[in-house]
Amino acid sequence: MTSDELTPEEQKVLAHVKSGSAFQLLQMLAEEDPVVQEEIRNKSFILGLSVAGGMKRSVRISDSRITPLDGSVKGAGVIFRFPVYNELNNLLSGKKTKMLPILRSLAAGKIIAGFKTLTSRIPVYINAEPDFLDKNFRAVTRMLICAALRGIKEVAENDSYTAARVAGIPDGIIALQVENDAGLEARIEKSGSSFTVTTIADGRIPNAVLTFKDADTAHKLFTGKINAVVALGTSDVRIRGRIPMIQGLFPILDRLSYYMAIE
Amino acid sequence: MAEEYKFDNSVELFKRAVEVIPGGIYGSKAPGFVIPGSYPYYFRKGKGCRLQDADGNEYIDFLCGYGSQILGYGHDEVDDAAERAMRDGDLLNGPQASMVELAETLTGQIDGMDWAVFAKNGTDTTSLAVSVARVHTGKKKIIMARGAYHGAANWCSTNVFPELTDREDVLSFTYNDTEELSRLFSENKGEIAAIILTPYHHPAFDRQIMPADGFYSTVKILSEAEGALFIMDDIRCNFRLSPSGSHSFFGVEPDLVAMGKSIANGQPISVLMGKQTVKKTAGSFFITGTFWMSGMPFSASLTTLRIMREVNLIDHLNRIGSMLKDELESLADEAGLKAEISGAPAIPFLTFTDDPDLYINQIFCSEMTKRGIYLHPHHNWFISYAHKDEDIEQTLETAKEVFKITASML
Ligand SMILES: Cc1ncc(COP(=O)(O)O)c(C=O)c1O
Repeated sequence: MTSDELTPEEQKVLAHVKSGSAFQLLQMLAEEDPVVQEEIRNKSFILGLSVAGGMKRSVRISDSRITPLDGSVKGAGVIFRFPVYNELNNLLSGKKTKMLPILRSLAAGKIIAGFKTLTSRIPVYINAEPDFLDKNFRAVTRMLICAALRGIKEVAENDSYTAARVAGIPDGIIALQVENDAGLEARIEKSGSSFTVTTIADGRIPNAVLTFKDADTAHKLFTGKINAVVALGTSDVRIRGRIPMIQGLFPILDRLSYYMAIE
Repeated sequence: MAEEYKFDNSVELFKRAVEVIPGGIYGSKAPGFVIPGSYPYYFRKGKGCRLQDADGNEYIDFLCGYGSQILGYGHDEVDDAAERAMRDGDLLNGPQASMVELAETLTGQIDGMDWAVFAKNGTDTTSLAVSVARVHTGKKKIIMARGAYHGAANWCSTNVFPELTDREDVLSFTYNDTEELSRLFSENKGEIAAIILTPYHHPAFDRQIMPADGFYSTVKILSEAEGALFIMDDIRCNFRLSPSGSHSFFGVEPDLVAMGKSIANGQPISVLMGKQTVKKTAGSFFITGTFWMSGMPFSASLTTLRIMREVNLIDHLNRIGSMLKDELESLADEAGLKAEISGAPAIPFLTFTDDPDLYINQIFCSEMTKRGIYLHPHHNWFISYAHKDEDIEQTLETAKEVFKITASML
């Protein structure tokens, strides 16, 4: 199915999922990828995305870091402005798109070129070739986990299909951990109707914990090579704490995979 | 120390199941409701309060087939009665005399109830109760307590999908919060068909809560003023509080009472009972099912009810349940843990103070289960007539060790 076949509301959710995950991955690439690290060294700019009457979000590149900013394009040197959500979807899936680049900086050309270089690194990790994957397994896995959490956040905040179920999830923090690898942890926190993804453990005690037996299990799960229900039954994935919080993520994950399958 | 149990057969069966059964095992029996890795998923047989899983591990069981096995698994007298009905053909073209006898027995035994309609599962009867209340009052809205379980039907379950509108007219309030309840009644004045409650609150993943002083009198005042029916969902507490119905234990007078689970010691039958005033409406419904007239559960139920009366069941359950509660709480204390058993003695559930997310619970219950004492970490437990002093003593012996292990793991 292509995004043209979706309802306008679904196109909006898809745009949130795709752009949210992409920005999340850029943030992590700045931590993991030498090419991106080299590209952003000594650079400072903001690139924004905006949809007429709707979403505004941007990424800030500064101090060798990439930071996604929700709800704002303030200070952006370049803003890609789309008449409708689906044009943003077209851009994010590499199709022809209608958009208006608003250039506010003299260095706009360089910003656009730099942004293209950065985003070109995403598939290197997410659709990694076997050799690359071998060498960067932990980084890829970490990125997959965080991108999935970001996708969950976007679906949970924007998708009306799952809204009633999302409302039933208790507030609190869910931590995703890998056994015997304390560094490989990401979290999603629900507070009312908003969700926050953090890519590290922050010292607070989570209300629920989902633990992968090893990084390989996490990788296989997020690349669709094993079934979550089986992994739970075999305890390759373990759950502890406030279980309804984790159970609450499953319908959102199902919905996320619906969006992820859209071309 | 005994060796910890392994669950390889359960896991293998589950893997096969996932291929051909959506989700492998569904609902509250799914692996995710216990702690995968520490619990069996499949079982072979049970006798008394002892249960054997698909790997041959044996347990003293405190779940009793989710409450239904009130006299114990494989009760000879009950099974003989069911077997006789089975040998007589079991499912005939219409009901057998046992159906009438059971209705007569129940209306004689359950306080304030004048008629009985039999079905198979608890959900059948809570759903029927809700429909009957709607038609009887000419109104649509139903009030229930947040977190209460009334079955797997879409009007009350977690099956919340935009395509299903069954939940639209169902309102929830926090159990015991009479202010919120009054507000719901006043904001929906003239629209409320019924309030449905369990005798006391036993949500999954939480401690159990008894009705606060004045709660039931507020329910009565509000529902009478609204002309709404009061439905008692007695499916879980059934016969563990009082032989006359749990409403009788709390001194309340519902219009409809739904029962199931323990009524035939594990044979599939449930019943909706009601007051004379609602009988005509109930009679106007078309309700049945191919298997609803099966004779086995009726015979099993008549025998179960008789035995429960003869053995003075409630006294036994209360004594055994209180022994378990008192001793578990003090053993936890000795290990430096603060544990509380909530609920009625026959329907206990253990939680630890300052453990709202149940991390300690999960450790304790898993370690007990892996040592042969089946304790559910997220759902209330049940005592049966088959639990004897020596079973509790063995349970406590294991608990003494496991509380220490639990404390050392924190
Ligand atoms: C209070 C209560 N109501 C209704 C039901 C539903 O009964 P059944 O599972 O037989 O449909 C249950 C089952 O656990 C229950 O505990």
